[in-house]
Amino acid sequence: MFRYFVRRVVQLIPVFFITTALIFLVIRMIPGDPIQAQFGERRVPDSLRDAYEARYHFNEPLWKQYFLYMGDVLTFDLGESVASQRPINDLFREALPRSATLAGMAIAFQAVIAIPLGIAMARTKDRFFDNMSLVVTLVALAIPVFVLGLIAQTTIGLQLGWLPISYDQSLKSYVLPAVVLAVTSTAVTARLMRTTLLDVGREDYLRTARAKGLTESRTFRVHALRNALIPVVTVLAIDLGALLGGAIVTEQIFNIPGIGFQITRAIQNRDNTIITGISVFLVMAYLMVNLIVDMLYAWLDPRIRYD
Amino acid sequence: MSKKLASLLAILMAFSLIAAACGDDDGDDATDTDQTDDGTDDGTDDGTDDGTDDGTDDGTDDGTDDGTDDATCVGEVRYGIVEPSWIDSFNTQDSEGFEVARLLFDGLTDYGEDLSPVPAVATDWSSNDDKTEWTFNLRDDVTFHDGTAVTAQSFIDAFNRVANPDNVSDVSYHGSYVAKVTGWDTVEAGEATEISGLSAPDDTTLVISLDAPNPIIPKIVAHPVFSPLNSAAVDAGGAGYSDAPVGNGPYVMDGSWQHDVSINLAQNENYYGTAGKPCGVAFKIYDSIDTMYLEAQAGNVDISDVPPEKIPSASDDFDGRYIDVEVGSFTYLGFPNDKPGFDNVDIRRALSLAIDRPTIMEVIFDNTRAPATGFVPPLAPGAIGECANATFDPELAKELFDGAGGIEGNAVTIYFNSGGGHEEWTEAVANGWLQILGIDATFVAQEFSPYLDQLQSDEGVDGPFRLGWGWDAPSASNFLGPLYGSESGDNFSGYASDAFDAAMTEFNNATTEEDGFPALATAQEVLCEDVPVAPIYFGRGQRVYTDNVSDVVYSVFGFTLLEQVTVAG
Repeated sequence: MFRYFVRRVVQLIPVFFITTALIFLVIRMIPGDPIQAQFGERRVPDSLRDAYEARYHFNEPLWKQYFLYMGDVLTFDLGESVASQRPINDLFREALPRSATLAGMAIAFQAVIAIPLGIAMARTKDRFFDNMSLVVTLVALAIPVFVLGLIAQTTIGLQLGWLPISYDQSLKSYVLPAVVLAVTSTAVTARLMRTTLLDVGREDYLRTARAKGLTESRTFRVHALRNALIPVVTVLAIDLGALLGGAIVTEQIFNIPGIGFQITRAIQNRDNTIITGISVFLVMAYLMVNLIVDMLYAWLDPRIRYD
Repeated sequence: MSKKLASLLAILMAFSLIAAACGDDDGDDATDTDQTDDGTDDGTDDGTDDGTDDGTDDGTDDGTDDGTDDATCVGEVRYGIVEPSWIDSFNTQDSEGFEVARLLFDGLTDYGEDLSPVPAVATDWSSNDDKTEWTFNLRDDVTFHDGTAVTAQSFIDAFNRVANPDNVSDVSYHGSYVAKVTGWDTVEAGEATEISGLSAPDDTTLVISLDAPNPIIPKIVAHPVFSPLNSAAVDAGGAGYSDAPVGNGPYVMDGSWQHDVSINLAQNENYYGTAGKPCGVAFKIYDSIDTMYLEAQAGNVDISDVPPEKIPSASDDFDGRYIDVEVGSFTYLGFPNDKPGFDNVDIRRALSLAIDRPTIMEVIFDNTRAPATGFVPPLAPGAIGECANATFDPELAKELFDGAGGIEGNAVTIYFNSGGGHEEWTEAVANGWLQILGIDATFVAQEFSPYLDQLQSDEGVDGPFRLGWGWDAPSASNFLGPLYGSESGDNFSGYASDAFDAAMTEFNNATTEEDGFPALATAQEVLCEDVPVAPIYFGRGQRVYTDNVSDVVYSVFGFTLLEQVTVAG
């Protein structure tokens, strides 16, 4: 198990450098001048252009910019924003906990609702509860998250007043956005749980377990459910990684200044340093999540670690 | 449950709990402005704790005795803004930053109601005969929020900081380009550390020397970029200074700027001038105007901007508490005056006359923009009346167009920046041109950055291009010189007119601004004849406010006079 872990970590290193180099290059190749972007519709005075270039190394050759940047990154210095000169580390320190809370709540909601729902759907297969759940989850899947968000905000937030309309630094204000975020994924996960459970239900080893005299309950919990959970847990873990940086629309609607929020704004403002910093972070997050998922696989299913 | 299964779910739960715990971050800081009492003081507590803190102060006892009667200040106004890029005066560049900076800082002058300069830190001013040297006499009783005296040197320190290229101020051009202070551009270029054109013969006298005559310097220096500087506070504040600048204005920072969340200001008890009416101002920061508007409807924000799609219903939503005023911005379709087809004045006139501005503004913008009737918004001092070539006259347009031989290929390419909401009105303009003049149009929309690159390049563009302009100082001259002056870097239409340049020079040499109005009128008449660009619209700004506040005035600069707002309390 340990050797497997080490192998996976070592594989991560070249992946990290290659992806960050690609991101770095691509961002700097986007047409448009990041310095001009700070000036709106005014022409940039030449002296100021020189000052910007000196401060952000924009005039150095790309490879050199990359090395300077990676050097800083490895000492945990992500540089500063082009627009506000704020250290990007500060930005992360503020934004990450908020996105993590939102993502954590959404995943918790997902796990708590989707798994039991999927199990119930599988158990009552083709009966009323299953069919109705299939329809409801389908509807939930189909509604785009921003529509859901706006509806939730206007009805539950404004008209009913049950929950805060937008982020006000209280934990309560995370609930509505987390629920909105979780709706689509919960629908997907519930259906997945149902499907995998039904697939596993056909397996021979379950017949063997029953033949051996195990109770139905134990057969189900120890053999069927555990195997069915593997893909579901994978999906949940990947969702977590995606939510950390991807809850862009929800963060904007509910005014939560998290990672998604920051990167959207940075893209609009051509704030290359923030875009690069957040992208590098997201790469790291995905790589970590993948590593965790692989480790979970190996732990859950011993056959995998001997691959 | 099997052990592994239980462990798995436990890990998942634990993770989310940890994430949630880490995330309950700044709910306890001193600037918490949520509506329930969580045991922290948000700075507007009325000194008694009844278990709920609703974020407003009823003004009768703020729990401290500072020797002045503070029963005159009432409540806290909660104002919605988007996140500014800077509130530190040296780099304040957007209207939201402006809103905050103008409460924190007082400059030499301020903008009066009729847009003429009024005394602030300076009591009076004078210039030499040719308007190249201005002397400001300062009050001797103005202090910064930390008690340090404001002197002429405070202004010199401030200007040097703005011009210093290490600080990368995006608004330094106010000194070097708008005011043309001697030596400012030298500092910008890194060739000096102090602006040579500034001097302080004594603590209450500031002398500013210019490279070229300018009669409106007192107006120009009302801009926040010319605010005084407390050098000691900057040094002491270090990297965090810009998040809590120390100014000399009617309000002080209450805590630091909570990025993307809020900025809180409290009344300056040692203010030399008229105190602001609210005891506190809470700027609540929203990324989405839609969300801000919803919060205003819920009563969590007192004054809010209005998203475009809500403008028709805003007045009803807020029972008539809706403001819609002209602001000093101008949008135009420039013509490449030096390119074939557009070098003919009759063609340009025709194109301009074939645009039905009033209808476009009504249908596409619900009249939230004002059709441009000339080259300068009417509210700008020095603006003259309507220009005939900026009205809608399809017959005359057709006549001029055919008489001049039309445009080769009967087609034009219209250039504009994407994402700015310009798709529809340019299309409407093109339809008008098709119907009236019989020319086809194709469109090229780009993001603003590459768009400007193309405009600035040597070959430029070969068709009409959309640009906008916002003013730096409340004068018609600011809409003229920069856009049409032959030497100006912001003149993208390749227009060069000796008559125009001469009129602008005459204005700059005028003894007073009013004396210069005839020259400005001449300049505008020249433009009206030459039609170097087709004026399209002037901007308007909108705000809504709840019944918790009144006396809400939204000025032509695009900011609300928050210090004059009455809070119901």
